[in-house]
Amino acid sequence: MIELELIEECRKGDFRNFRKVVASASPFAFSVAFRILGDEDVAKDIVQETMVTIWEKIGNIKSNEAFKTWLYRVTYNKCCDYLRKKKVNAEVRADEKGWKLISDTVFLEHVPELENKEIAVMIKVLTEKLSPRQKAVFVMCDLEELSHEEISEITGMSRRNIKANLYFARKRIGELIERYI
Amino acid sequence: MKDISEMKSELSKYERITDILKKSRPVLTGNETIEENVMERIRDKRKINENFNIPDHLFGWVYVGWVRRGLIAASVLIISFFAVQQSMILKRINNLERQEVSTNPSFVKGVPDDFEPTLLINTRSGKISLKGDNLSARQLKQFQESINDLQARYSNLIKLIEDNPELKNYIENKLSEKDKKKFNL
Repeated sequence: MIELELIEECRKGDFRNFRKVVASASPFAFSVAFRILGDEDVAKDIVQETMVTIWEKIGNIKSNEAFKTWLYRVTYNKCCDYLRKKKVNAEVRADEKGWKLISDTVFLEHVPELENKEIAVMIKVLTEKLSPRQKAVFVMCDLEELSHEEISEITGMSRRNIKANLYFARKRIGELIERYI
Repeated sequence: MKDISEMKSELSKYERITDILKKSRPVLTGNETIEENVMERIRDKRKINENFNIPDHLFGWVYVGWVRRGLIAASVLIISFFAVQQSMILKRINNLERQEVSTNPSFVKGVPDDFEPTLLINTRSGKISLKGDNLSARQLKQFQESINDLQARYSNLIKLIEDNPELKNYIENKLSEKDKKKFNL
């Protein structure tokens, strides 16, 4: 949990407890970044950059309650920047091993909690055909369980746009599931 | 066409997969390293902010090599242009100083009431040169006084002639005789 009192202190310019803010906010930022990018090391770099940006601009947020949405927004923007820069290298080939892992996991009765590596492989193969926006909307809506309103605030997209992106994301993932599983 | 059972199985697979991913939240390992890195980057940024110097920030670009060389070239050009311009101006001033004040004789036809001969005096030497003879201010003043005296006498004479018709007729006759003689000549 992110303590709102700490956020309030930082907003007022008192950064003595900023390390605590980093400790509590990093997992949220990491979760989103990791699920969008499917790469642990890159996600950690994004988390660091996000925290530095937060230190620089935390005075600009309007309320303590808005902090979490703002944290997601900063993380989302950093991920988009990264994906834009790495556009050329972003072509990922459908990985047979990845699909085998998914099909094995799906048919298990009791699924154990997956490791980061397994999650990364699954996300990569599922979202390989998605645009960065579709990827972000799928992660935020179906994995992070954020509402459309929150996603709209984070990404700056309209609700209709979010619905359209989510529809195409689900459709493409469904097609891949049909083909490989 | 997909049948309903096929679509349902696809949907259930999708839901199952997303459900697995939802439950398996990525675990952030090395949290302390991340914290340390973030704090270090913040310290670096703080140092940069503390060392922020307004003059350096505003004029730091002058330390860029090509800008510096360009500025030196421009300043040399401006200074040399200034020096050339100054020497030209000095030359012209010297030429003007060397020139003498000359008076045109036709200009001094008749004497105005406010004639002030001292104006004609060259301010540098305090004397006016007239065909090699130098006239001082005192001499010019005497010259003006004699002209004024002559004018006064002339106007008195004219008035005297106007007052006396016999004298006027006599002078007119004499003048016409003189003109006739001139004409005969």
